[in-house]
Amino acid sequence: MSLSISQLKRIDNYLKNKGVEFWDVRFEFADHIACFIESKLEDGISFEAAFNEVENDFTRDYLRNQQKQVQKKLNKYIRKTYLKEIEKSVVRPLCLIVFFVLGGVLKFVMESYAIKYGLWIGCSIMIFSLGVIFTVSIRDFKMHKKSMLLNLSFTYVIFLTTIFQVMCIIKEELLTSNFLQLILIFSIVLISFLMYTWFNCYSELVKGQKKYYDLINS
Amino acid sequence: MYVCAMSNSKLYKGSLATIILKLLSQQDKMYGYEITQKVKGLTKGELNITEGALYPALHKLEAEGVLEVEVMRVDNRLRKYYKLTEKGEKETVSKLAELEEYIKNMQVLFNPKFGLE
Repeated sequence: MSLSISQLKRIDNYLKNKGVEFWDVRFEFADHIACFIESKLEDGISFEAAFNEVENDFTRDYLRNQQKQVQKKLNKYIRKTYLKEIEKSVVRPLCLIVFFVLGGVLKFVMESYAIKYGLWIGCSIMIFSLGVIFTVSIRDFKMHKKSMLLNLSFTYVIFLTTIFQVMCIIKEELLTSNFLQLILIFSIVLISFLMYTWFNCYSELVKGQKKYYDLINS
Repeated sequence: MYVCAMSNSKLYKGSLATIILKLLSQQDKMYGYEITQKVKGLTKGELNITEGALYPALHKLEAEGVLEVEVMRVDNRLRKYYKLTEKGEKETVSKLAELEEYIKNMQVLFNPKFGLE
């Protein structure tokens, strides 16, 4: 015996009110509860009686605790996806060529013109990558806001990009030796690479979530 | 509905991942509630896996790449199905061998004949 849309809505609202705010966490709990209620209906128990049982078992504290556990696992999943993306990018020839060319260009600009021009190019690349990531996340903001997976990965985006922006405050006077210049070039290339891979990882996560989000709203 | 960790004993807790893997190796894909009911049915109600124990275990296996998910629309709602990945299939074989070894050792240790000698 299947539940009606209004009964499913009631389960969903109950979970929302008890603090399960993210749809990508809620829908699995909702399905579990719905299956439980359906089995009770088959035993001849009314929806109200079965729902009361759910209210007794799925308390706010219990659901919050469950949500926290999901969060822990998702964090692990995000980090794993990112590492996989780095592994994939490292062996991608085009990606390697782009970053070697970028390094070469920076070295050439710093040596032939001035260090500050190299720094400007580096900063522009990083600010551009940041802009791209923000554009992607703003595009699906509604979905992003309500999905725990995207919410967590966006927190990583903010964290990483904040660290990366430290590069923008490096002063030309500090780069006195060739060695320090090389380190700077390497850092700019590495950071651009990490941001590129992060962007790919984030796009993949958004794509995956969008599929489910569209399904839930269809 | 059961909300305590697992009805029988803490002994089962360490075997939960193996139980999930074993069930999924026999069936293409399963969803959370189905797993709880399958275990309950197979053990004639002796073993009740609660959602509080099951879902964290499923999510852990998913994060480790042992399981993959497929979300489908069923009866006006979304349902998350879990199935074994290639890595999961290998993991199942090794986990089952590990469990078999464990049971064998336990039998040696707690064999009544051994105790009477």
